[in-house]
Amino acid sequence: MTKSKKNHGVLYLGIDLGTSRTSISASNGERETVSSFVGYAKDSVAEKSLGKSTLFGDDALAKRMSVDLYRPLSKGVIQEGEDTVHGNGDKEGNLRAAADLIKEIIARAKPRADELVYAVIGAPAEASIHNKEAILNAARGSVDSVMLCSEPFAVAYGLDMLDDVLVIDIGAGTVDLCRMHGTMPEESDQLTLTYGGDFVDAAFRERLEATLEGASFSPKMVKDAKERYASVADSMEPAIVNFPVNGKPTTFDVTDQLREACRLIIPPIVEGLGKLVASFDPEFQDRLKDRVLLAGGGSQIKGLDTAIEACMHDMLGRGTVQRIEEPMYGGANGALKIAHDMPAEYWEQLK
Amino acid sequence: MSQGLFNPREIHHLMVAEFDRSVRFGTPLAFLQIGVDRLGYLHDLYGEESRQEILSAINDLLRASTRASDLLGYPDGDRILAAVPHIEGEHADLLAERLVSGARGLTFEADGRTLRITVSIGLAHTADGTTSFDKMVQHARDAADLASVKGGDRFHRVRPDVAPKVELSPGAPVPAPSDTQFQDALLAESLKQALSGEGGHALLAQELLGKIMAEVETRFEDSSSGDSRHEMLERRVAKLGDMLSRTEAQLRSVLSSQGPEGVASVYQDVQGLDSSESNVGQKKDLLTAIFDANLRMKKIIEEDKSSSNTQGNQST
Repeated sequence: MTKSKKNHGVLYLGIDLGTSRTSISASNGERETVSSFVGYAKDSVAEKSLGKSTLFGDDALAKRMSVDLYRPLSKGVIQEGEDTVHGNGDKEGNLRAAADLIKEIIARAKPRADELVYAVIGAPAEASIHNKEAILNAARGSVDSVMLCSEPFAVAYGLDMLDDVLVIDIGAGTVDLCRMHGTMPEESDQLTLTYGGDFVDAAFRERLEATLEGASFSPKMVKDAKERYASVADSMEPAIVNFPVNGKPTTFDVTDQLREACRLIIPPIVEGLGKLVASFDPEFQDRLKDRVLLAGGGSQIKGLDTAIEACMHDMLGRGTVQRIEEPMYGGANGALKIAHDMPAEYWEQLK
Repeated sequence: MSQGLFNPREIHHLMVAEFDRSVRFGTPLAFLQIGVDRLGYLHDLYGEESRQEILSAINDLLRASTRASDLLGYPDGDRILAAVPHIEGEHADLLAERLVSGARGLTFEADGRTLRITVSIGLAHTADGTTSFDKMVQHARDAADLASVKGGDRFHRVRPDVAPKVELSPGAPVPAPSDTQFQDALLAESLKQALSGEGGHALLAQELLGKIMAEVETRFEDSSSGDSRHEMLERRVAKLGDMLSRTEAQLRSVLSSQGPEGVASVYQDVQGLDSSESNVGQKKDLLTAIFDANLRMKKIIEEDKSSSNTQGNQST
């Protein structure tokens, strides 16, 4: 099949549906990221004031007093219980919010009315069948055909690194570790840890509460400070924040607290890598240790690649970690490439 | 607080003299404006004594890193201005890098904790075509502001006359890979030329230009420090150059053929969505495995649905 025929009339989408952010890469060149929040106007007065009934991303978060706020994903999958950080916990509401979020991110890819839309969505390897079904149902209203694939696999596929590679995908909810050895990763090739961005936020918040007497701060303020300054390096720029004390803005240096919180994720990640390495063919273990890819939003923590390398040297004898160049779009770009490479007949059969 | 540095009036007078001398004899001259990142916050947190200690250490670092004949002074505020005569552009870059790196190694004790600082440095050089003293001072100040806005811990050099003179003819000299600003201008100019004379595609040109420039900006923000940062920037410049070549080829093709995909097809090669991939057999197996897994899932879901429908009908 020639390229022009393959591409003609079809828009391919790669979607990284994340707990914190949802990103899309499209074959028409569009790329978008939106925070995974959905807000529905609480009443008609709020709707009139907001100018619309549904808000997404940071807009929804900024207007959280006027909307019913949903953070539909937890640990990379649609929430079905009460485990919520910011949003509502009802299952139906989260399903609706997830569907609206997917619809919105697809709309931002600007599909033409006359195009077929084929999407690959990255999902955590350990997502249940019910949750995968929920993600598929949420997407089906907006696309003609959809497939799911493992998130770290998508990252590796996007970079053409399919043989003897360890992928670390640090998301907000989870850290997914995946061993690639030329075939589809099986269950034994993948590990999901709960030491993602939310874990760092919680640890950072604990330390702030213990050390900043009288200061008040919201989860968003903690997250903003983390995203601005996160680093594990000994020499990092001072993390200076302004938190109110008795209503008065007060400046604090939270460098040490942030560094400590960020460093907590390193040992469990390296332990997980160790497990995947140990169960691999001994002849190729060193090669595996020398080909570690660091991806996901959490990979933007400054110095994390070097720190993981150092920890690998201590615990595993050696290690070389390469941070991917586009942490926010690594998963979406890989999913897009899978979508594009997938034979047309496969898409047809899944309609 | 002068700490042995020239005051604003003195440093201005001396710098004017150095600039005039540089113009008259054609000798190179660099102005550097050095500021400590977030010094105001550090002052608020740890007091005036700490601020003075930091400035004093920066002063010592400058003195140790420059020659006795170089001029150091406070033009205004807390930034220090250095006028460095008889220094070539590349050596001025090295000096700025050395100062940024040196500042990283400074440590201070305050309230029982160890503080580390970083600096932002703006650099202007006569080789960059600056024609007046005021402009050169302004360029150093603007560059320091830009270095600070980009997160600090870096230096920035303003080269006002370099970018517009970019030549794209085959024999044109290739700029040094580390000169990222020059490379950005080169990318922009190349795209414009690729579409020159095709007025109907001005929007396309702007869109592409915006995307590439935004990417360059984003990648600058992400970059880490030291040698690895330098290597990363070189790799990115090489990658962007490659993307540009493919974009240009695609643009020419689209403009000549007006193919069925229109401008959207430009991105497909650029984003690695071409069909001439390596590992074709291996990828086909992997894609088939993904498809099989999704097909199995679809069947399980359909079976679940039909069995629950059956149960529903029986109960009614």
